[in-house]
Amino acid sequence: MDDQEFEVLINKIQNEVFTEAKDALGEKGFDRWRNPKYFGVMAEADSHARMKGSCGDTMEMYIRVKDNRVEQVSYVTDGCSSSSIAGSFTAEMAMGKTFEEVLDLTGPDVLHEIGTFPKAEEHCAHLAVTTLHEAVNCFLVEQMKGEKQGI
Amino acid sequence: MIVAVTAKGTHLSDEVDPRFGRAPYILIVDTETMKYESLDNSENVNAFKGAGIQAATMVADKGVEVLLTGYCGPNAFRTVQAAGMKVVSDVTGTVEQAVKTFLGGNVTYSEEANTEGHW
Repeated sequence: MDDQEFEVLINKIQNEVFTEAKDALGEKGFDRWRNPKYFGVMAEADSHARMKGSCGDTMEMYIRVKDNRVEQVSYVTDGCSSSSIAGSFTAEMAMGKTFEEVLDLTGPDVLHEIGTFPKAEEHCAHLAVTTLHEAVNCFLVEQMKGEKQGI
Repeated sequence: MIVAVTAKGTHLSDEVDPRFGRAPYILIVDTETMKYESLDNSENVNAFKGAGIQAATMVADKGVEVLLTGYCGPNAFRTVQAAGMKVVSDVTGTVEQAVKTFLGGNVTYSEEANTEGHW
């Protein structure tokens, strides 16, 4: 197989991947996979958490807080499209919410917002939400320690 | 012979990462001299278009003959095969151990993907 034939085959496989992914993730999920909003390390975050899911994927959540609300959220994952989509929607759903509202957020809430999602990948939504909760918890613990020390 | 090994770090002493497409690094090792080059795979991981295909294309450009990894999905496997590479799956231990085991001949080449498609 020469370089040109190889490139043609790669493009063919790539197109098949996009078709498969669209079927599995739906238009909304597919679009978010290709355009992962809120992906990246947040500079000067107020809190951060990292957790590893049962599938081996790592999820990180960064939050910035203002007036007792989660003002901004970003995520980083080394996982597959499902982890990235779940992280992105979780971040989006948490922004602007109070701590209590964020802690009430569940995996099924995120899955409902995404719409179509592979059944076998639903744990990704739970991982994203659990990691976000951990970031909020860490912030609250640090805040409480600060208050005790009169900071 | 040039082999590629998916790795958790940039050195021969680092553990093999079982994931092909989403391994953080891929080490390109000359089995005769054990000289190696570490490729950062994060660009492929964050391409959001199918990490396995991207990683396979990157490795193919390095003249690799054999890929040593944990598991390889169907799309990556097709790409690797099309590039003329052989795949050894279920590889564990450090990169150095993986290469030495391979050189010892105690390996079986995969005939098909050993995990489902994952993008």
